[in-house]
Amino acid sequence: MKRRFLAPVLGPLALVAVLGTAAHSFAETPEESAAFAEAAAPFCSNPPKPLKDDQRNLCGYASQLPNCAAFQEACTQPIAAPPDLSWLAPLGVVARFVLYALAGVLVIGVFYIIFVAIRKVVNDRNPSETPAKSGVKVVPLVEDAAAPAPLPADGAVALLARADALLARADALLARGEAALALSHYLAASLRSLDEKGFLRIARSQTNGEYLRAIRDFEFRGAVAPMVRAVDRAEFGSVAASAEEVAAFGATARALVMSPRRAVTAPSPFAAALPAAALALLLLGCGGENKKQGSPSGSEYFQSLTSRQGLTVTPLSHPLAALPDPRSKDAAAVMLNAEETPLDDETDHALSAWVANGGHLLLSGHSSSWPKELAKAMAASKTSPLEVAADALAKTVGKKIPPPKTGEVPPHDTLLLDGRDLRLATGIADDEEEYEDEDESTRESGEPAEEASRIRGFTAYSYGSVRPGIPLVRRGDGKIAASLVSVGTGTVVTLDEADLFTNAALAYPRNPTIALTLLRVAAGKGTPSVAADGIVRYSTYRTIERARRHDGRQGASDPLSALLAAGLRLPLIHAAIFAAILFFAYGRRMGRAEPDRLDSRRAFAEHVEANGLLWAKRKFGPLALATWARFAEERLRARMPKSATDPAHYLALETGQDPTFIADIWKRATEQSPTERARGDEIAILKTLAPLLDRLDSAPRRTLS
Amino acid sequence: MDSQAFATVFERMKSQIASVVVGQEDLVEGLLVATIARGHVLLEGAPGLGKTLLARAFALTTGTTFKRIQFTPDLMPSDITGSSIFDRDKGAFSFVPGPIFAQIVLADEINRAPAKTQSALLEAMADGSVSADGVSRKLPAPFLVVATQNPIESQGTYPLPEAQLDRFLVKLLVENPTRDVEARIVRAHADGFDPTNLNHITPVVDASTLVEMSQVAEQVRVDDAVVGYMVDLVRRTRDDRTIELGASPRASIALLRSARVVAAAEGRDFVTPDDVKRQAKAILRHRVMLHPDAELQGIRADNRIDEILRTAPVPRVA
Repeated sequence: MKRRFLAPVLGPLALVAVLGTAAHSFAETPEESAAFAEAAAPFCSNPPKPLKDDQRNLCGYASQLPNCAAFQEACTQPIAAPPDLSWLAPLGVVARFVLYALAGVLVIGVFYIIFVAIRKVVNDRNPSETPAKSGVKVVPLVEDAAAPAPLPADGAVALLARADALLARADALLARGEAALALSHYLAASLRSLDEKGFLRIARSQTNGEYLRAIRDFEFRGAVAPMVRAVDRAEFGSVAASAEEVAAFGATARALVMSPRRAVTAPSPFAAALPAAALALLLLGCGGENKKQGSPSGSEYFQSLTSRQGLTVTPLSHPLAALPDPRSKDAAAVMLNAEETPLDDETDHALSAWVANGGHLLLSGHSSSWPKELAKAMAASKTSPLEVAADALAKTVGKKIPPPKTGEVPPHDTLLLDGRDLRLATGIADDEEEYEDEDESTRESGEPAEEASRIRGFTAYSYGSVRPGIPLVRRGDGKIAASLVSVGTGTVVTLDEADLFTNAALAYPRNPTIALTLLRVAAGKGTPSVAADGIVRYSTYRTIERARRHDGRQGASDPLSALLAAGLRLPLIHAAIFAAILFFAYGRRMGRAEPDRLDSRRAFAEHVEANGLLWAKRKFGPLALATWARFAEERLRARMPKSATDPAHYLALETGQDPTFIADIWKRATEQSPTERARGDEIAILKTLAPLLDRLDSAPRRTLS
Repeated sequence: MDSQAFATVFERMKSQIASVVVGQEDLVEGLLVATIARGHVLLEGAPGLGKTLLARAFALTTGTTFKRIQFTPDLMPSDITGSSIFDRDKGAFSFVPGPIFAQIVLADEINRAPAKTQSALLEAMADGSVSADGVSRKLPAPFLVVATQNPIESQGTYPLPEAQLDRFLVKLLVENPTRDVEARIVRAHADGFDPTNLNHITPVVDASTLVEMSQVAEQVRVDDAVVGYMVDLVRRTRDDRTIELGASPRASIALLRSARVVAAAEGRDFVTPDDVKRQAKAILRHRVMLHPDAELQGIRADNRIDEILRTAPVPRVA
């Protein structure tokens, strides 16, 4: 009877109490009001204009934040229309045609290469066209100074050799009694040394006099001048220097080679302008962010929140696809916004495995954006809603905190919110009298509001509950927004929203509590500590690493995987096949050891050879022969010793051919005019003479005397 | 005279002429080289750069006879070579020599005369003799034609035929003076220098010395490798795709003669490739004819010769 009487009375009272508690939890406290009354945050007062898409998504918060008129105004501005590119439409036809043409050229080119390669292979099998091996020992142009300097064939030395090698060779020649040749080598060593020091530039077309005039350094020029005169006198005046003179020149050359002095060259205006331009661009910022502006979708509040609470949040140190072993001692919890950081399949797979092996993940973003494999694993796992001790929070609001002592471990863990400062605190006093014996200054130092960072919130999230056991992290529509999922031996804290960690969401004093709760659940509650300033900080058990936009894509650890990731699997196979064909056609030949050639002339020689082949193919025999003859004559004259005047005779002598026969076909070749009508024998003569010159090129020079 | 004495005399002549023709040392040297190499000189430059002054100073320094011929469109060959006129007293024709009968002949603005008149110089330049009225008359030795032409005027001019151009040993370009040089010229005039009165110039040598110097230069040794280099340079002008007509073998010979004089002027009795290279442009620039396409592209003969000199390998032992 008594119960029956009390029930109708207590029921409404309980309902009123519940509603009252709920109302209290959603009411704006005086501290919160004070926080709202503060100056507007940068993103509120000076938002970027126009807003980007991710910033515009947060416009729902603008109307609920005080002092955010500028943000609201930015949200009301119409979205800028994309540029009108319709005028480009006619170009599409042209572009398509060009594309087809390029593709056609590419295909033809590939087939042509294959055709040439096959023909080359067939030709290579013909023994009659295999060039005879010269069997001549080649003297390398650049020698190791440490190795004993081999005595070269006369005239085989070029100015391209190293100065110390030339010097060693000159010494050897002098010791052998060949003073004239040694003198030339001493000059060559000196000039080469000055080239290496930057005083002049060696070139085959430069005379000794030009080298001398090029030396601006008075001392070096004075040293080289007598040597140049002596060498010219010996080479062109047939007046040989004595052995003593040569020895003296040797000492001069040695001093030049050993001299540490180098030419001081002023940087060119262009070279100086480059770094200046780079610096100017750097200073201009190249369109960098306006620091005075604040982005609603930025993370400044999040960074402030975590740093003030002693949490360590850093950018992800490893790609998501290659996270370190989660069971290791220093393994970090990972924070991932699935909307911001899309994952490829491999990364999704690797992340799922990482979580199953014991990893701890804070996954935010709309559930439709969650990684598929991970979502599948979570669906099959145990899920429990997340709760925040709202009652304790509610009790602590506006209450003073007893000053904890440095080094003291707080007795228990409580979230404290006073509307202006958000932090994890402990030692909440139920009765202020307990702290009467504390020093006044120490007590004041424990006031969190005085050193607080100004964290605001947003009411889209609610926390607090009228009844224990009801999930607290809910969205404005009342749906559960967060949950704790166990996957294997790891955990995933999910949040079905992507906005919580943005400036706009954290601007409301209550939302940071949710954010901190999620972080602490994901990363594990660490041991609380009292800092020197008396503020208790609750670091998490693990550090937290936040994924960036690009971390969801597996990095190109090697070029092959990068190409595969780019969808170039089939082209890669094609390229491999073509490469194999080209290798068997050309690469195999190039892979053989070949004697060194004059590097400075090789490109030109190849150019001439390629042109000759082209003309021969096009039946331009006279042009091919005439061009080759000029080239060959130049090459031969460059090699010929001074006592030789007839290139044909020299060629025959060097290659062991019949001088009369060579003289005849050489005359025919050199008399050929490019514009003359073809006689039909041009290519045959070319094919007869060209291999001889090739053999000669790979042999060291000799004198005829 | 040995090569050292040759060098001394050469330097004295050069210094004396250069003291009058300020800032044109290279030009003076080119003129001297050409004279001793028994060649003729074509000077190309704008009016007022001292071409006539150079020729006169050169004649006075070398103690040679000097005549100046102003070429005009109505100039007749006989105005140059001379002609026979009837001597009433003797009752017979007697030959009156023209201005060509001098040791230094300045053919001013040679391209203003028609080809017929220009060709009157051909025999004199090539053979050192003049044929008139069926009689060949020897010109005095040394005989040097210094011709000038203006590069910027084309109206009313007759370009020199290739055959005649080839007979000039060198073509020297008379450049505008630098600011300092021009200031020195003006200063000299302000101090009373009179270009028409060069009496203060005393001869350093006489004509016979010049002839002797030519003979000394001809004895300078030329190595086969250097000869090959000369020939290579000349042949490359024939192979250059931008050159329509390359230099003739006469250019190779001109290179040889000039290089010998240059070597002797430096007191050497042998020629080096450097001597050849230094004379190459002066000797080759008027002997090559560029392709019309190349000329339209603004390519000059000097550009191609520079390229040839830059790419032709120089003979050396090491």
